Amino acid sequence: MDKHLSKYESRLHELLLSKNYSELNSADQKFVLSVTTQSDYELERHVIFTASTLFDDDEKITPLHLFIQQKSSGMLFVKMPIYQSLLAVAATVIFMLLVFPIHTENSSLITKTEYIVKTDTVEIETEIYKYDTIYQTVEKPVYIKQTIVAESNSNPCVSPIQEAPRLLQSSQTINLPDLTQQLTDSRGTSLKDDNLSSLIVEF
Amino acid sequence: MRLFKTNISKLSDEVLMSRLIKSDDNAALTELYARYSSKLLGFFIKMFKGDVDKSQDFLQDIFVKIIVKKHLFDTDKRFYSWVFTIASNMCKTEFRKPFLMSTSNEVIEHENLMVSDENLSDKKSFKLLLKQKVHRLDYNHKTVFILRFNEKFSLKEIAEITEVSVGTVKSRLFYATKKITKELQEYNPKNDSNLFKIN
Repeated sequence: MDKHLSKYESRLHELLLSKNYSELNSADQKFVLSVTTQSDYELERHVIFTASTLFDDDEKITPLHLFIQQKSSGMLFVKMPIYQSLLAVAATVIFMLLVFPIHTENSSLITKTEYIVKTDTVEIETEIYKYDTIYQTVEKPVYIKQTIVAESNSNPCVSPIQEAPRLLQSSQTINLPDLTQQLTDSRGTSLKDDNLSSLIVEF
Repeated sequence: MRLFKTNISKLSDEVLMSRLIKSDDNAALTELYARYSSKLLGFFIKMFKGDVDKSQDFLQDIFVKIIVKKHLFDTDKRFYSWVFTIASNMCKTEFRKPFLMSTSNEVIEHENLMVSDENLSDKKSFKLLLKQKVHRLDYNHKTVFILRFNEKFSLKEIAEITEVSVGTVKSRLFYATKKITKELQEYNPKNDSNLFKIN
């Protein structure tokens, strides 16, 4: 539809815009009649002529006064991006929540959870400390002390390790305990608790 | 401080625009509004099939656009072509809305009922019928037709406004006129030579 006009169309258009059919010379009239009819030419001329006064009534309508918003220099009228205003609102809400916290069920649950965690931590640390102390300091010193007490009853001035061979050399008649009874005893005695066995082992 | 006040009404449109760009000169804007408001309102009314309220709104909108987008105006070019380009683009955007199309068709159908064949010998009725045919044209043909025959712009000026070549403007104008004439064929003025005498 928007293709450029042909040579004939362009010439016809020029004539339509400028002259009535009666004002055309014979050559132009011949040309017009070769392309269209006289009545169509006149109708098209009439359409063009009438179109110029077609909207005369509309042009009598007066435009309204121009309404432009006056710029205000006040702080409240300063334009700002939406994200900034949203951030300002969010900051205000957070501030208000910090100052006036809302007590709901959810917030009380959170408080309880924190308390339980603290208690657990304390209990675990205490248990570990107790276990270490008992294992290292209590068991071994008890065993050594018992041995020293047993030797010091026979000769309190001499240490048991040096004194044991001398006791065997000085007296050949040592009263040995009756082993038969101990051997026949089905229950037996632990080496740790038996005084004689400990002497034999050390010797 | 200026000693003599400039007579703003004697300044060209482009000078007024440059004043508006440089210093937000309200007097320049007012003068431009005084010069172009009637023309633009008329154009909008023609494009929107006589909808005056909508046309008044569009008139306000176009001047708001001029203020907001004043920096886009090239002072070496003509103001009227720039402002009418904005106006025609606004109309194009509005024409794309399906709501407007349906409403306009309803209006045309309604007007058709009002114009009966018996009254067509009357000059006024022919005008009314022609108006309907113009409103039925598609956007491109209608814009060119109105700008040429109603707003009295030259082909070159229309080419600037519609941002197409002069050849395209000629073509659109030729086919728009031809289409209307074809539709009005049955109301050929040959029957009444006095009525259709031109000039």
